[in-house]
Amino acid sequence: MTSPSRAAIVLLLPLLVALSLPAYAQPRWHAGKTTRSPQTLALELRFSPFRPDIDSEPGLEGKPYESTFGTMPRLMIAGEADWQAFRIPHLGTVGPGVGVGYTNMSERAYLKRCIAKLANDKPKSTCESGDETSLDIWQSYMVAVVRFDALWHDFRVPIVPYVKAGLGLGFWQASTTGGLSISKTASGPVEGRGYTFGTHLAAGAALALDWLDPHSSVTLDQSVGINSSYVFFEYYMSNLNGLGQSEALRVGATTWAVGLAFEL
Amino acid sequence: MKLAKLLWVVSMLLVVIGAPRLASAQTIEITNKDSLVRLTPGGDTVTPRAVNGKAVNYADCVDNQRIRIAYKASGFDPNQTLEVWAGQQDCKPIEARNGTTQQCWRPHGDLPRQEVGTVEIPVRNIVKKRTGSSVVDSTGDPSVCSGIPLSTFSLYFMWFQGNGTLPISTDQVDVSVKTQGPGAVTGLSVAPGNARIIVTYGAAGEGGVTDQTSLRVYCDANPAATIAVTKQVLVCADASTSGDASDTGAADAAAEQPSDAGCVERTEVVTPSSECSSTVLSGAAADAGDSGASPPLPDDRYKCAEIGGALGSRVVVEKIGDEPLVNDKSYAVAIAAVDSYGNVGAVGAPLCVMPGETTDFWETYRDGGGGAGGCSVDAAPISTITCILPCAALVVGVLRRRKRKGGNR
Repeated sequence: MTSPSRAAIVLLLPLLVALSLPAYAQPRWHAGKTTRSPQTLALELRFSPFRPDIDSEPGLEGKPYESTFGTMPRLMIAGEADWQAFRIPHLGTVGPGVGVGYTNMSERAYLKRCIAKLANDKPKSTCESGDETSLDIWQSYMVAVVRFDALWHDFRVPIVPYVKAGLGLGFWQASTTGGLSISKTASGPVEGRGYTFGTHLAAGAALALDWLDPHSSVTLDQSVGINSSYVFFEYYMSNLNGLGQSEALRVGATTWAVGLAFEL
Repeated sequence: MKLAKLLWVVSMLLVVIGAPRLASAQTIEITNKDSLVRLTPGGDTVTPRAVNGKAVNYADCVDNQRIRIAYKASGFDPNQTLEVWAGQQDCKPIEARNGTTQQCWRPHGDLPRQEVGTVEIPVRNIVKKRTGSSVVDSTGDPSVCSGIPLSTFSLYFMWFQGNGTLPISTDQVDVSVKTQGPGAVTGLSVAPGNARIIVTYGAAGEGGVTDQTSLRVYCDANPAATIAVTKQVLVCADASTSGDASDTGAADAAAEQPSDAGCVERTEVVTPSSECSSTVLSGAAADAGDSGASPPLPDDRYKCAEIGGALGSRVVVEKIGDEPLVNDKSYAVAIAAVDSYGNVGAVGAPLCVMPGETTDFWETYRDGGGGAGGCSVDAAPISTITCILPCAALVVGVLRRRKRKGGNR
């Protein structure tokens, strides 16, 4: 968890710097405000450290996820599109959004016969096989998004806080080198794939990059229709713990994300 | 006297002017130079390979293939012979076909004097260099196929009038031959998997093998023996060890001696996965190399995988022929590169490996009491529908909303 925390500090630094900068540049941007194109959509490219909550399943013995894939979070790459359907004056935009993401974790599998007779003084790595065991997770969600951009549009403070809330759905698949994992149970073999429902909550803040170079921002808007560009930091809870399901693999996570956002 | 001189001059003129005309009357033309056909000993036409398809490779030669050549001849008379000579230089000069300077040989007897004909010349007779003017049949000697680097052998079809003369008319066709395979592939390592073996090797070019179009893996399900090795290993308190104890091996601690820094040095008898011998694979490896001689390759029934392309460095073996690999059984594995002429190269030294059951996240989760995974294999059709239902509902919802929106406009 050390490296993600460091990354968070590095990514938050621009926000702090931005807040401490003098406001003399603001009037220059203000002059170009009237030339802005209509704004209806926000697109996000998101990156986040991701470690699913699989081991938190009630009744589970041991920590199958941690014992297989360790504690290192994996990279979740995601995209989100928000329709900014309504604008509430002096508050911000409101609208629905959808997001999809993907992550994968893969580790060397161990030879069972070796593990069984492994001496205490020997590292487990001596039992590594040529096989790999892996888990793929496709995350998706539908959320309502409120972006409080009045701070930026009305008061020239280049920070746009936002919140998101909605439902999530994760698809997952466990595999080995030989293909889809299949567990043999008393009631027959069970494939290692499925889906998990849950909720999705998020809160974050975006730094308006237009503020750094207002003229380029206006040019970008006039040429390709990008109203505003942001770098953002978000804390989110993907509670994919089986909402309405009796048994589910908990493939959600509570973590943070950083990325770029564009309003069109 | 004057008349006699005149007659002599006229006759000489006739000889000088007329002789070439008479000589040029004999013609020979090879009509399928661009589409030479190779035939199996049984007479079946060989389908050319996709790359370097016209060239003769080691397997073609060992297979005792023949090359069918079609020709047209004209203007011949009973005193003339139509001969075929082979060589890697110009066979028209007399000295190339005679005496101590002879560089060409006869791969086939005289051709019948006919206007249109075909001849089938054995590949082995083409590549086997020899002296003398008689035809020596090499079709019974597969050793002539070994170790020929990329070479061009020319076949000369020549009309002769009398022995030891220059040909009256000639035509030639070139045959490319390469029977020397690529060198041994380096960097072989094998790792056990669950009823499979994971084979990794150095990429093409790393071990001097540049012309590599595929890699062939040979497996022996009955290796001769694994080689036990005794090693000194240093075992420290933090569980790190300097030894290379292996999964597959029985590692028996024989003696322990305390040493510095809280570590214990001990002798272990290990049976590393990397050391074993195989009669069927090692026999081939013994003669392998770039020395020129083509090695006797393992029988095709030992081929357990072949991966195309030169970029790969990993192949997973799950079967030998139709037989799936079995866990907890030792296999010897060796690899060889295949070049763009289809020549299989030297087979490297075999390594042994024993597949076995491996851990799997899904199994660990289910064994720990995890209940997820509704997609039962037994109820595949129903479970598949259940699994895709949420997505389908989402798509239908979006489509209906769009339709409604379109209708309102």
